[in-house]
Amino acid sequence: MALRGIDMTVRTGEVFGLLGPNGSGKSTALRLLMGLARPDAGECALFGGPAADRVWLGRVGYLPETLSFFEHSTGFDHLRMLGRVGGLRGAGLGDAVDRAAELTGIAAYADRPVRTYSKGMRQRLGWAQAILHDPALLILDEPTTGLDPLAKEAFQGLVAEWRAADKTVLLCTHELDEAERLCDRVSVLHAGRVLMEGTPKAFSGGNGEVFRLSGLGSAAEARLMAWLGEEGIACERMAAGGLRAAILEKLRTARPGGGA
Amino acid sequence: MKAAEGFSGAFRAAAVIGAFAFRDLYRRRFFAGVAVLMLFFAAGSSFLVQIDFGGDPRRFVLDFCFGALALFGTVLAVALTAVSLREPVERKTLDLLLVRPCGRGTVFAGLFGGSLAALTLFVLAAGIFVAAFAWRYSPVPETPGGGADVFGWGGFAFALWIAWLRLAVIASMAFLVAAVVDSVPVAVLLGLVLAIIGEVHGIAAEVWRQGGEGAVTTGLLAVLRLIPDLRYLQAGVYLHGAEVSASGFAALTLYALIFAAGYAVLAVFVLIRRAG
Repeated sequence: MALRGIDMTVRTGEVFGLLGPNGSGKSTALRLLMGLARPDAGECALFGGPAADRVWLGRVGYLPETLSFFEHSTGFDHLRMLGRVGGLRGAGLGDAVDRAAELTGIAAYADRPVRTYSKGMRQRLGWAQAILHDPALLILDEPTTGLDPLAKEAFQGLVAEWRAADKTVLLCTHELDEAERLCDRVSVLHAGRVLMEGTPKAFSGGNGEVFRLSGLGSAAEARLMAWLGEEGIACERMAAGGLRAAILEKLRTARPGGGA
Repeated sequence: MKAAEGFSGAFRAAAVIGAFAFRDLYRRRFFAGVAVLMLFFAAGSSFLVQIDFGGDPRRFVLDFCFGALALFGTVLAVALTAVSLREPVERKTLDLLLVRPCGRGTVFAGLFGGSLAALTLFVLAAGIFVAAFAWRYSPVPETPGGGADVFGWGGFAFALWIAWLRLAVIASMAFLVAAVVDSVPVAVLLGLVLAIIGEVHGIAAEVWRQGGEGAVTTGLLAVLRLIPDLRYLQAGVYLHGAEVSASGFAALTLYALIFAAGYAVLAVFVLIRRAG
């Protein structure tokens, strides 16, 4: 996925949502940040320094979108190994593993091989490895995709704890309601560029906040309309003002999932 | 969190990853399957030896067992190494490690170390098993390591060491192949091809030299120099009292380790470049 001039700033202590339909470039942006992909041009910065330096890695917890583990090892094996590789030792390691397991609710089954885990269990193990070393910044890529409501609720509790500890969370999702519940600010990515940025309240209307909109091509317009439709936001092309005005008007008055 | 720093930190992190990868490989049915198959073949020699081949039964059993060790060890070295690297890459399991505060080279070296540890266990297990057979078929000679066709435990240990070196070289070649190609089956296939070329190294060189002095022959021979001659690492030669000097031991070990380390370092370099 090509990213074109993404410019966004995540402030310390906030939960920032990166929204967008599948293929919009969200995961690519996060992989670039984490140094798992190399940009053709441009640069990413983390904690005020170039992301490519990787000196900040110990301060960031990352949950990848494609979550995969060593199937024949247990959850505890993973956490202990990742903790040791990250520099944790002795009692500090044990405490960190126990704390992560308890916070994410995996303690009861973390001594079983990962190949026996359900999707929800794997996702929780993913959360656990991300928070293992008590990072200042959590970068979570689609953390609740495919999970049941109970697991989603557990995740919201986890994010709330992180927010209460004045930690920063960068949350990538395509679910508007999740972003609305959890995020202080959101940025909407579409076709590799930031389409709009603001507070999630603007999605539900009422405060009159206006999203920034950048220029769209006809193909991008069609995809955006389709995505908004999927999210229950009916939109239509307006004769006067074009699609952008229509979307803006609808975004002001629409509630995700509830239609316009 | 303290970042793993310096050489000792990198070594420690690689050791942790290696130990983890080893345990994960060890728990696979594939590993156990090949090991059991190898031991089954070795055990089979005790039945075959009842047929009178006209030779020393102990010699027959040892040759048969070390042949099985070489054959199944080769398959295991290639498959284990290819799977232990390509599987985490393809499934993106590696992302969990690459975002930790340690070098990428450390991560890949750790994975390779895990494969080597699994191979070491395989060779040790096979060695103990074969030693039990050797013990059963003949008492230990009073003057071990003597003249030709005299079995000695020193020679046996040296043969095991050579068997391990051979598998380490094959594993490192498979590691490089797995670093370059993008699929487990292709990596396994190419790794086996390289191992076979290594085995027929001398024959291939002679055949190509007979083909003339053309550019193609010169090119093929140049490529062949990059592949170790695995004939030097045939463990069976050292089982029956063949004399090995200290310098010969050192030269063989150095020859194998240079190739193994060279391939492994090259593979890590390729992987770092490809990791983004």
